[in-house]
This record gives sequence, structure tokens and C-alpha cells, in this order.
Amino acid sequence: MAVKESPNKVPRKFRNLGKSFTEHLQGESNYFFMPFPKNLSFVGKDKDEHVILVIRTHWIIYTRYLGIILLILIITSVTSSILNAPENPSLLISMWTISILTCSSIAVYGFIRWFYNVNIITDQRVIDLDFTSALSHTSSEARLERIEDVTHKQIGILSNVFDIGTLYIQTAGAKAEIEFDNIPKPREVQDILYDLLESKQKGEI
Amino acid sequence: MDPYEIIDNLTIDTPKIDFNILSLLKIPVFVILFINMLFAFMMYLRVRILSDTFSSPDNKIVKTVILIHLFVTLIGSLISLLFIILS
Repeated sequence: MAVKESPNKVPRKFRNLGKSFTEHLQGESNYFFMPFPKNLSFVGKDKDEHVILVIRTHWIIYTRYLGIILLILIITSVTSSILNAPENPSLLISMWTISILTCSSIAVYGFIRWFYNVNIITDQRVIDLDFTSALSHTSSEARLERIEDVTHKQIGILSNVFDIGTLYIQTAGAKAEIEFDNIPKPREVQDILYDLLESKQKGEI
Repeated sequence: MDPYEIIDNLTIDTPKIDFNILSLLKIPVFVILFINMLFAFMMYLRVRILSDTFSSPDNKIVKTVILIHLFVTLIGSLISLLFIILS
């Protein structure tokens, strides 16, 4: 009987390395932790370069936008009752339209931030794409051979509850370190990076 | 002549200052609407750049979401502007 292949199956190139990091990549794939994604590309990707892992900031970090939306809706209801807006329907409609538009802008902004705050690990480099605001974004990358140290920090209640943390990747030279902010499974990602660095140093990948 | 009547005649009618808080509220509302429209447009442009930097199969969904948001913001702002002028 033919065995159905797992969608997250680790390519042979990496399986043959015999490293522990492949175990972390065989689990569940979701938008926050995506091992070996298909049809994914970025500027400067080489033809023979394999994307090993795509990580996004944990969803719990974006719940603050939900709080802001709720606050705006509460402020609008309070203001409309203070101004006795039901007596002036035009004012009531315009106030609620503005409020809903602002809330939708915040929700869309949160969604875009989540989608484009992306960290990519390939067999050649690590890339950190940060959507900082509607007017700016930052893209940092470091080749694996330039990486000197990888540290992870898990601080706070949220990190305890959701197992999230920040990974700091120190590169050679005066260049600032790369940060993978509030990512899920930081220990596993650190292990993946260490194994990849080791394989790179030995010339296995 | 009655002295009270004389005093009444001497009283000058001072013009009343009509202070309406609703008309004062219209200024920040116009500003919020303008910022909202500008923000939606800037986000649309930024997503266009980022979709070239990082391309994934879900980029189409994101582009559609941001385009819909831009249109909704523009139409909603115009409606809101109309109601503010009417109020």
C-alpha cells in the first residue's frame, strides 16, 4: 500500500544530514511556523536555495489591536450619548461611520503587520522582514557563515502561557543583530539554526 | 417718568455669542477623515512594495483585502463628509 507523503516532509538533502533539527520541522505547519513552504520566494533568492522555515510573530501579540478597536467603539458610544446624538441623526451616522472606518483601518493594519512581519530561514541565510509602519519597513539578512551566536529570550506572562520568545542572531562585524520578535517555539528555532550553522561550517549544505 | 423705565431704556442690548460645540467638532472630524484616507492609501502602496519583496501564494488575498479597504475608506469618508455637512 502506498504511504501518503506528509505535506511537511523534509527534503532528502536535509534528512541525510542526520541532525535533530529535522524533527522540529516535521510537526504541524501553520501560518506562524511554516517548515519547507512551497511557492514562496523573496528578493535575491538563489535558484538552488531552499527555504527551510518561515516564522511569523505569534498571534497573541496582535490582540492589542482588538483592544484599541473596542476602546474606539466604547468612546464613540459614550460621545454619541453625551452629545445627545439621536436627536441629530446626521451627526450620529457620521460619527459611527468615522469610528467604523478607523476600526477597519486598525484591523487591516494589524493584519498587514502580521502577514509581512516575517522571518525566513534558508540553507544559505536568515532574513528578517519587519513592517514597522505604513510608511516604513526594514529588511535585514545575514548569511549563515556570518552568524556568530544565536540567543533566545522568553520574558513575561505571555511567553509562559504561549511559549513565545525573541531570538537574537549575532553576526560578525559591526552590523546590528537580527531579531526574530515574539516567535513561537524559540528553542526549536535556535536548535534549527545551530544545526544549520554546523552543517554549513562542515560544507554539508 | 418712572425711574425703572429710564433704567430699562438705558440698558444696551449686548450681542449674544452663539457657541455651538457641534460645529466645533467638525474640524477634528475632517482631520480624522483625511488621515484615514491617507493612511489607507499609504498602506496600499506599502503592500505593493512588500509583495514584491516577499512573494507567497497568499499575496493575492492580502492585495485584495487592502484594495477593498482602500475603496471602503474612500466611499465611507465621502458619505461621512456628506452627513457632517448636513448635520
